[in-house]
Amino acid sequence: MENLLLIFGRLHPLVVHLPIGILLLLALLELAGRWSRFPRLGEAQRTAVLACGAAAAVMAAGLGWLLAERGDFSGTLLDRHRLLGFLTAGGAIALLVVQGLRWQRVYAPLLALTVGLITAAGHYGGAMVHGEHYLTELLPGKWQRALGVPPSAMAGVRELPLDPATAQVFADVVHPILEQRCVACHGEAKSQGDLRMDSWEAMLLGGKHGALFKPGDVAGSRMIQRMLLPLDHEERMPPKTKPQLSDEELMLIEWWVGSGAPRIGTVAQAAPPPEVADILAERMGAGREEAPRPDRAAVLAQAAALSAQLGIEIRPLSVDAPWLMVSARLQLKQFGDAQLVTLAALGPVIHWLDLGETAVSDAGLAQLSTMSELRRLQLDRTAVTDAGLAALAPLARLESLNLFGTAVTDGGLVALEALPRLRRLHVWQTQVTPAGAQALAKEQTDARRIRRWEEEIAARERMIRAEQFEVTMGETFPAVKVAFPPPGEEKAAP
Amino acid sequence: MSDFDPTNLRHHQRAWSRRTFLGKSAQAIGALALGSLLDSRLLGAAAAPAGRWQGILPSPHFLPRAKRIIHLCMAGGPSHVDLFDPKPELNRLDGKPFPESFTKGQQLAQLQNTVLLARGSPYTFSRCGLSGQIISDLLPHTQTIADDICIVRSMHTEQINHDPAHAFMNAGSIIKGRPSMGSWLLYGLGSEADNLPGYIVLMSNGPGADQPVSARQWSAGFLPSRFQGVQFYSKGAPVHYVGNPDGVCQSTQRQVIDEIARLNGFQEEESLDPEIQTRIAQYELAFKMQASVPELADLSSEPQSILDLYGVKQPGDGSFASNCLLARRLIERGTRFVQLYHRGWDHHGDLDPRLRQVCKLTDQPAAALVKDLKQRGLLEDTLVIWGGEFGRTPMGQGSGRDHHINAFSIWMAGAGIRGGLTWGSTDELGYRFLKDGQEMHVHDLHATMLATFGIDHTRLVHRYQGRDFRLTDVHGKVATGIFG
Repeated sequence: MENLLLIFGRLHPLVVHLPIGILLLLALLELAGRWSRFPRLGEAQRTAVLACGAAAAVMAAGLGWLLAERGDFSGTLLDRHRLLGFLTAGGAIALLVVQGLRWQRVYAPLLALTVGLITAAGHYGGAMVHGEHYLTELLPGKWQRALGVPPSAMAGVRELPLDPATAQVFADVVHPILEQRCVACHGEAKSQGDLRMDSWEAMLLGGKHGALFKPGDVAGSRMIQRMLLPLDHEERMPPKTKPQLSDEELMLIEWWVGSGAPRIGTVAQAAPPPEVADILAERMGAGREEAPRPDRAAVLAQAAALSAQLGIEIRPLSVDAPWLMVSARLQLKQFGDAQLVTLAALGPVIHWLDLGETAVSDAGLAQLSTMSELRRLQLDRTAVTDAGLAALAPLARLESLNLFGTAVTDGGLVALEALPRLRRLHVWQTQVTPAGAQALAKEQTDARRIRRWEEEIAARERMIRAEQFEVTMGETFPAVKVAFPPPGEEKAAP
Repeated sequence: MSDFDPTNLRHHQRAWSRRTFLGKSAQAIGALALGSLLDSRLLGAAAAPAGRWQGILPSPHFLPRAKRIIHLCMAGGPSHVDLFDPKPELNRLDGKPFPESFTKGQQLAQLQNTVLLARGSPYTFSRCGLSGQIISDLLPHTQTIADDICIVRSMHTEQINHDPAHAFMNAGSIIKGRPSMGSWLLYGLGSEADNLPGYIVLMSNGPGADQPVSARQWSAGFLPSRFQGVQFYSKGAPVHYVGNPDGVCQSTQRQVIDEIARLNGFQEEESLDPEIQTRIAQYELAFKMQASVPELADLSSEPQSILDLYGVKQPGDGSFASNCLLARRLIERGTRFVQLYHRGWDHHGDLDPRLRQVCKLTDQPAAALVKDLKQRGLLEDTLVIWGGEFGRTPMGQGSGRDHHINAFSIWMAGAGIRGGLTWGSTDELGYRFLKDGQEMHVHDLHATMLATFGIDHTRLVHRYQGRDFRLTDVHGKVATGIFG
């Protein structure tokens, strides 16, 4: 019996469109009738349409009542939707009565009111299904602010640059994800399955199936189990039709639960493992001080075209970032400076570039100046010489450089001293001497480390001075003496 | 990419969406919808250059460290207590009964129903390199790369006999029809090389190499068979009959291959059998290999210093040394997974002479491979794994040792793995790994291996017979601590 009622209740979203259509059509026809070129609605037609509309509105309200009683909905959105739905049904019946009594004067305002009611009821119903900010989340930011949309409901603004030392794991990393993906259905306004996910406590309290997570137990946490179900599984969360968590977001949530699901605690304290740290670094905006990140889809399309044109390997390095790895090695001498010019169109997004065994020469290396994100560069067995290495100076993020089998000498290495992040250099079978390599290694390690220590010492000195701040008042002020307890009081007290 | 690209993994799915549903059914709208559902990632994936194999993953899950892997499989089961895991307590017990508290109720291979006696190691060990890693003096060359390798002492497996243990090490399961780890890698990432197979197996010959290793160890299982390992002959020409017969030139050959591909294409459209695609791809690859294999096998371009580094006496003689050099040449040419098997580690008897012999054959080439990769800068993105399918008992078996699954040692190098690190440990007799958070089951090794390629082992899956399969089944934990 329970289920039977619910089966009917679930027809509500279908039936609800009937009164909307009928009553809006009626209003339209009435409006059109006021214009002389359209025929006015006859009394009999008006009564018939109104009867249909009222019947449909009553049916929709009844089914809606069943769904709300038995179904998984609760929250303020439901309350508003239910009230407005019943008012609409009442309005439709009242209209029918008014029409039967031919109270011409009441009819038009009542119809307008009913149309207003059904519009509002429909809006809240839609918000229940699609989420409260469905209509506004894609609007331009200026409009959103004017409409008072909370920042968490604005698409694309969640990746705020944060400092791991102060960013809270739950409040700044995990919760924004949940707000974007879960809270629309499991929040204050709408709480499907009696579940709210808008706070840590509410999540621990859970819904009708119990707590959402067990601190430290990733596999045993209901929230994560649901997120890992196949997309077409009926218990999968978020459901198939809703925006899904990205792999990175899922990993962050798993990491958070796995590390005990703390409510309070900074990212730095939680000591994320490297793969999580990578994601956090991406999300928290490390390394994105300069330009906004290029659009991944556009980059990949361009990469595919260039890959086909040049016959070289271009692969993405990350699921959601545009960074690429490029290898021209298999083209051997067919890849030269001219091809490198073409490739430079992708320059700003290349992280790994393998030009080993190609025909690239000193002249071509000038193209590398656009590749500000380059991490790894292979130039082994090319015609590159000392003269070309100067062109590497702008590569502030270069970590690894392979010059094996080239004609570089100690003189060329001087140009590499300024590369701030260089950690590995391969100079087998070159003119570089052990002494030259040693000199570079020293410059790259000791000099940099000492510089960092000096900065640290300076910072600490400033701190120490702050702690030792003292005020002297000199002798011009009398010394204030307070005896404790004040003399005499002891005796005075009984 | 050309419309008909036989090497594209997703061609099959696309063929389904377009030809089958548009051509063979009237429900064109439904077909379009289904086509987009089949694989939506298709649209976002960067196309690989034509002719190169594309993997199923449009991009790694996280930042990769490795692009290639060389697995030096020491088939037979090297003795960990004699090579990487010295046990003074075991030496003290030498010849005395092995404590029953260790072995009671435990699985044994050939030592069943015998009196178990401890066998100490007769070999000396040294602390090597800046890291002070402890390595047996049987491996003087490996001692010189101590700072580049991470020794894992806490390996353990589930299979106590050679063939199933190899299967477990390769595929994470002993059930036939499961893909090997090389096949999984190719399936996930595709191949870089377009004129050589992406997964190549070499088996070295030499004294003591007596046990056969089944070709199922590099099978692609239920994955399309183009991902299976290709075994090259290690002696003589790697691939036989690779040259054209007299009177056939390459252009004639090209025409023949094109025509066969066209005819096979008809059959493929009709039956939608992915194995026909494999066949087409193999013809094309074989054509390219007519040029690439002779170039690969021609070691005359290698200077004498390199031959001496590896200890190659006669290039192409089928020795482990020659194969190690070939492995380096293969990964330089874009092969993703190279597996070298060296048999002759199964020392049930005569441990001392035979272990000395096999160490002499393999020590220098393995160390040379790491050094050579390092000087070329290839070690940065090449993972090298040295190890057997299991270890050997700390108990004696006559003059040798039996199979042992509760603890054994391997080493790994390259691809961002921290050199000079000793990971995991065993009890005082080398019998069982310790649960110190650094234990490494075979599944954990697989998970870690995939992680070096930026692959989350839980998300490289293949649906087969109604179930999602993965290399690590439902297990596997990445040993994040071994990364530098």
